[in-house]
Amino acid sequence: MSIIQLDNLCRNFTYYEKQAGLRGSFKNLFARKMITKEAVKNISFAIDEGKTVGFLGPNGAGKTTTLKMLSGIMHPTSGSAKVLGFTPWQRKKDFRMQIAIVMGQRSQLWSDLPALESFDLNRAIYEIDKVQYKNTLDELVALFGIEQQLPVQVRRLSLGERMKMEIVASLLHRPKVLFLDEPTIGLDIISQQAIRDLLKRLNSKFGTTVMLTSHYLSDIEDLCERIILINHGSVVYDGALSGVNETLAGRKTVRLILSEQPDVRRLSAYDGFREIEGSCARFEIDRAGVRAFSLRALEELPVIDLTIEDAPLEEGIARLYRGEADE
Amino acid sequence: MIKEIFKHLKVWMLLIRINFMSQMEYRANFVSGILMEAGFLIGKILYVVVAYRAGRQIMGYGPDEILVFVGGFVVLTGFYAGLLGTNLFQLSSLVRDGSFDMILVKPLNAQFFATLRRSEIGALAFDVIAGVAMVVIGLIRLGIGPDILLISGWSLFIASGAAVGYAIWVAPMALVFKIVRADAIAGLVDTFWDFNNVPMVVYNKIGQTIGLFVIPIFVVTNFPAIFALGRMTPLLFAWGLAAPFITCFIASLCWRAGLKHYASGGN
Amino acid sequence: MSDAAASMKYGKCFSLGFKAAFEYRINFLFTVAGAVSPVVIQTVLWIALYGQDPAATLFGFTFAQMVAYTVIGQLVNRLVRTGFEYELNNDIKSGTLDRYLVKPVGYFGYRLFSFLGDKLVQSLLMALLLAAGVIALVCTLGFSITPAAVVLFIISLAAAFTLNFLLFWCVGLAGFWLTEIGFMFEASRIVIITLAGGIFPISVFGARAERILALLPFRFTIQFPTELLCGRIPSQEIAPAFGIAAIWIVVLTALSQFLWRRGLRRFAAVGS
Repeated sequence: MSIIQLDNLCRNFTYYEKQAGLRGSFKNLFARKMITKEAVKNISFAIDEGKTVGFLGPNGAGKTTTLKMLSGIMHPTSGSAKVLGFTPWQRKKDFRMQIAIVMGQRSQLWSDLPALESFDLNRAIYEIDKVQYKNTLDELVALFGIEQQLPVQVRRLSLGERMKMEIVASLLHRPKVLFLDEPTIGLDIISQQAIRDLLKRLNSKFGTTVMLTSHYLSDIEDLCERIILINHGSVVYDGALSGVNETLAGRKTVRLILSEQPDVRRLSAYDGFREIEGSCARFEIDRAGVRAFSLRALEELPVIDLTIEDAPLEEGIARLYRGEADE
Repeated sequence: MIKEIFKHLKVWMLLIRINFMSQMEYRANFVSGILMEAGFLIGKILYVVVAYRAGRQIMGYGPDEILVFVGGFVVLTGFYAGLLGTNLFQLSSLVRDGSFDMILVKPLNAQFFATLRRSEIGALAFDVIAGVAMVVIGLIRLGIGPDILLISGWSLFIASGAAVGYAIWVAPMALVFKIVRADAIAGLVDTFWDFNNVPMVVYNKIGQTIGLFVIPIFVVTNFPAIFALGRMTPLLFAWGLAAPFITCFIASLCWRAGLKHYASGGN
Repeated sequence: MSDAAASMKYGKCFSLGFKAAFEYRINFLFTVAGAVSPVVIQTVLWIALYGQDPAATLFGFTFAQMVAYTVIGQLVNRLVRTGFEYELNNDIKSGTLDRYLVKPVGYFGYRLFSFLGDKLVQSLLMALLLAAGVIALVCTLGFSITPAAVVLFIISLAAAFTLNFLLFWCVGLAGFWLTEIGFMFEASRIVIITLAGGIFPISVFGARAERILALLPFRFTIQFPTELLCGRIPSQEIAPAFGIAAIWIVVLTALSQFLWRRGLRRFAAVGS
């Protein structure tokens, strides 16, 4: 029995166009043009209890909108969904008592007080028994290693520590389902890794069903066996992470800055050549072939600078969408 | 149901405590909040000054009685400023940047949490003390000694007034979900609030009827004074007790409609 | 920077303020409602106070004069009202003041012209309300105004705008030194408006207070323009009064520049 189930969930947004300039403001007083955006188009999937699923997609793909519908914050335009047997947007009290949501850019903690005070407030809000509260808190503190930070004002904590506190606050009532919306956004690399470690430990310890959205592939790689890829409001891929990892992360963008502008035909001879801009040539190379390519390029071309970056997520997803995935 | 009410009361007490602790971290903030109330108090006391200096009655109310009126008004302003104000002021920005979502997800009544989450005990205390002082002084000057019956009745109507005041403030705030520029809305209710600077008898019959039964702003502050000054009538007494329930019910309807609009992705 | 370029830049600030004002049309409607209500409350109060004998004088006003003062005073009050001190405080607190300091438009100029641009929209509509109010007063209470009074009124309004801007500019600058000042603005506003005769005419405070307040700048933001329009200022007092207003403009300009320089120093040293 799936604990989270979506069937043809749709969400449209309509808003008014705003034209620039003084004339535009005048026009807006009298007649405004309406625009409809389909943020979520017929999404269906199911998640079993205890699993951690990654929900990945570029900005504006519809991840957060889907999450809002699953947590009851937003109504869909059409379609249905069930979480823990409840229809989320009915916002029944029993439903809200068993879920938790952590959103990367929004805080539920009181910034001028130590996190403990916010935890205590949550204890009352979620009607947690005193003894159980203490046990859960102790477990979480040990698990996350935050003992030292407990009496510190939240605003004095680093971003990474604050995120840890947010996650702890959301786990005090031992929710069955945890929604994490971009939990590592805005964090430095080290903090991102720390949060990922933490979530790994969480999974094994509490058996919470976790739905994690992100636009960082590395978040998902570490934590999820299953990944749901969303782009332009539709599910592009739903399956094992291994199936898609190579496609998404397998490519690297290699940029060469050359001392003299070479013949485009000569560059095209290299597999993966994409374009040249001035004296900068861009290549898309498989991760496995980067070393061989770099050696060859350095030897054969007048290279003065060489950069290797991850190919943008959008490109990987676009390729998947177009069906050019190589396994 | 009762259990839910008790839970919300308990959470409210906890919230007031947290707010107080949080504010003590910024003592300048705390003080300036009180100073703001002092500023508003000046605006109200001006009416009392006029009443005293004019040297004549206002519709049969002498200056000391005006003092009792305005005193009650100040106390109720304290409830608004101390318990409701910050929340209403913040509401539009919470809605705009989506932080309101965090309120919706909690297993609490969303209206309760959104309207009472923040509080300023300093402002509340200041207004209550100033207001009660004004009432006591006025009563003493009139030769009306405060006894148990008077205090109970006065407090009862203060509570009723607070509830009606809550509803009057909260109902239009539900527009925030549609319009979002809530500071304008708050300003509008603010001006209605100020109609209580003078006793309701000063207005003509139509105005009094509207202010009592349609948008019951007069219920908010007139009734405690009317009771204390022995000018209560059975009709007003009954209405003073019924109005809080009716108005709060209507306010929650407005709020629910607003929430529905928010959840449908409005704005 | 050439004059043409400067005026173009300030003109742009003006049009931005103008646009912003247009945007918040509902906001504006509410502002109008907010102006009407105190007039209603106070008029009702005066009706009750003057009661049987409207020809009697209270605080130096007959009933007709008091109502006229209430209506016109409230409109002037709204007209000269500021709001930029919040943005000013915001710029200081968030540190974005930096952004403006490097722009070719001086920050003071930017604020002043945004303010005036914003006010232009409001003024046009307030002028309509004012005209309507005056007509109503003429019809119901036999109120009369002379063209000379209107001219003097407009001149005094210019002084009122300037003074009020300067006053609140100085209040807003307190944000350089005090941490949580946002709440103070409304309290300051009430005090200033009270001293300016914006709620009740200054004469309710008594003769001695009235004499002192006549010398302070506040009166010139509301009481003075209003009484000019109502023709209540004896002609021999008009010029000296303008003189006092002019002196205060100079003094407050100097004070504001002083505070600005001091504040900037602190801003640079401490951050926000």
